[in-house]
Order: sequence, then structure tokens, then C-alpha cells
Amino acid sequence: MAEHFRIRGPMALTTSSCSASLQALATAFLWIRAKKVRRCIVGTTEIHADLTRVGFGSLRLLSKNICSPFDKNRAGINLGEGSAFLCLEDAGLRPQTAGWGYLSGAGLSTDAYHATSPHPEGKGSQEAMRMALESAKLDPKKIGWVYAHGTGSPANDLAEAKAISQVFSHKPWVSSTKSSHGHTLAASGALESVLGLLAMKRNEILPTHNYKETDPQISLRITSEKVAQPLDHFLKNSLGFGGINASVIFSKTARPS
Amino acid sequence: MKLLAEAKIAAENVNLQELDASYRKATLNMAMVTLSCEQALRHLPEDANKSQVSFVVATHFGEVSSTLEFLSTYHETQTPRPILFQNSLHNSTLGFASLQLGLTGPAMTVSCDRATPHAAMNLAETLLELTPYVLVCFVDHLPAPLVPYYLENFPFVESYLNKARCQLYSRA
Repeated sequence: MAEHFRIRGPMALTTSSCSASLQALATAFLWIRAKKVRRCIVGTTEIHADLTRVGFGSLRLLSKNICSPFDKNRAGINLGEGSAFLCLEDAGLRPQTAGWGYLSGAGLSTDAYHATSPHPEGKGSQEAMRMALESAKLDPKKIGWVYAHGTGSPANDLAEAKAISQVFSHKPWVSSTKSSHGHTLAASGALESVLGLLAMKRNEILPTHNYKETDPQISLRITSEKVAQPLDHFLKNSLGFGGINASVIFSKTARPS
Repeated sequence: MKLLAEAKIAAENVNLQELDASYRKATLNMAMVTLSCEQALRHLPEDANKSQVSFVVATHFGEVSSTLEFLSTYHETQTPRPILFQNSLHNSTLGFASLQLGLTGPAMTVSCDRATPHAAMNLAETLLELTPYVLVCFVDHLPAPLVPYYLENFPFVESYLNKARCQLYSRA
């Protein structure tokens, strides 16, 4: 793509499983913040392959029904296909032009716990969220919505729920939209960031479709219906195989530099 | 970026059967990355902890051997083997090594065609904004029957083939 579009600046292709595109967004954020670049195109495409379908099936991670993230009866993931690309630029480059939103913080971490399962308390994810908050210089209470990774897998959702509860004591809204479009794996971070930015513009919390019954082990504020609410910031999570975690924070307005 | 240490290991010097039990499910890529990074990490200052180390695994083609084995086994038996699928993922090398080495900082796998080494160094420099240290490990292992094909079509991989090279950097 860089050759096709004659992009001469720095480039990278991260292949860090389901955290890849959120890692790419974090990288672009750091490049722009360090004045290495002024604009960066970031995105991912995920298409179905037999290798993926058969492989996930062998790990017994697939749900036979529509997935139900954070629900008591969640039984696994649905694979999805998708693509999303974003253009990030230095907020000072065109201050008169309103963007869709502002990437105000990023955090990355590793579980060092298991090849395919997250740390049961979501320790790595907690660290990524805290790093993102610190980088955005935001108090956790300022986050009105956590747009979770929420795959619908029993272990993953429980670990992420515990991590969110540890970091956010004020119970922000939490959603996963994977029951609407499936798990687009490496593309999920970018795709869901775009959906989240659109929702923030409209002051809406996206619903977790198919969420019906509360899991007694999960103490989050989840809605299966769209909620209208003023929203200044939201945090997006990704958790990937290999215990790789990424979190980014999007804000409605730019932080004064 | 200040280079603190470098360690190299060749595939021919690694015998998976002789390694301890924690390497039972490891591929050659995983073993080479872990062993070379372990050597480099000995040069980490004593007061530094491993959450302060970012980790970049640079691999042009990832786990080609595991992918081939997964597909061959599935083709022959129609039964997918979970461990082979798990090991076939590009990021599995990083996942295994971070687990073995107890690295909990930011970590990325980069596979960027001929630009892989350059992109990896670029990412390493970027990650030094988040942590004071970064490990960068270059690794590529290919099954012997595929080597001629890869060398003909991707000659840039030759100097990285069948070895791992790890570098530990700190902020300048």
C-alpha cells in the first residue's frame, strides 16, 4: 500500500493478533506526538480463511449461536470480516477543521501468563488501561464509556470485566458490538474505533446486542439498547492471543498542548 | 537509542529435545527468540524490572513451519490440531517468549515484507517513549524444502534466515 500510494514516511505492519490495529493506532499516536510524522494512515483488513475458521474451531472458541458478550450464557465467539482505515493528524495542523474525534492516550502491555488465555484477573489489560489514562492525563471518572474487546468467550469476557471493574470504580457504560458484526480479529480495534467515534459524535453508547442475562461474576453496566448520553471520552480495548493488550482513549475535543 | 547488548543464536545450535520441559510446545522460532533474548536481558541494569522493557519481534514470514505442519496434518487427517494452529500465528513467538522471560511491558510483532528490519527499529525507537528499555529480536526460520522458493522470491530474507538476533537498547 505504501508503494501504491507513494507514501515515503515511516511505515509498519504489526501482526500482533487481535490487538494489531489498536497497537497500530497507538503507534501512530506516538509518532505524531513525537513529531516524527504529522499525518498517519492506520487501518486493517481481515478476511475469512479456512485456516482461521478451522483453527479457532480446534481451540473450541466458536459459538454455534449469535455470540452474547458478557452474558451469563455466552458460549464463544463469531468470526467476522471487516476493514477500517483512519487518518490521524496532528491536531495543530488544521485547527479550524473539526475531526471525528481526538486520540488522546494509548497504553500497551503483555500478560506473560498463557499462550491463548488472558490473565484471569485481567492484570495486563488493567495495566494497558491505566497507561492509556496516564498518557491522556485523564482521571478514570472522566471515561463515560468503555468499548470493550468483549469477544463472547467465557474466559476472555470475565478477565476483561474484572480488569474494567478494577480500573473504573464509577461504573461507566460498557459495550461490545461483536454480537452485531462478529470478531474481526486484527481489524477489530480499528473497526470498533470508527464505530465508537461515530457514536461519540452522536452522544450515544452503542448497545451489546444479544445481552440478556447478567453473569453474577460480572459487575458491569451493560446495555442491550442504545443509550443517549453526553460523551466526552471513551476508552477502547483490545486483548489478543499471546497476552497482548492495547487500550486507546478517544476524546471529543483536543487536549490543549 | 543506546545499544546495551546483542545476542545471536543459529537454528543449527538449538536442539528442542534438549531444552527443559517449558519448551515442550515450542517451535524453533520461539526457542531461538527466547534463548537469544535471555542472553541479552542479562545486561539489563539490576535496578530495572521487566515491566520496563518493551519487546519487538521482527519476522518476515512468521511461523511458516507450524503453518505448514498444521495445514499438512489437517489435509491428511481432516482433524485440526489446536497446538499447531496456536503456534502458527505470527504473534505466538512473541507470546511464548514474553511468557518464558516474564516480560510484561508493551510488545509488538512486526512483519513488513522487505521493510521488516527498518520498521522494527522504528517501532523500537517509538516504544522507548513508553519504557526505558526495548528488546528487538529478528527471527526467521523456514522448513528446508521451502528455502529455495523463498530465496528466489524474497532474497532479502537470506541474511535473517534460520537464526535469531536480539538487541537490547536503552534511551540514549
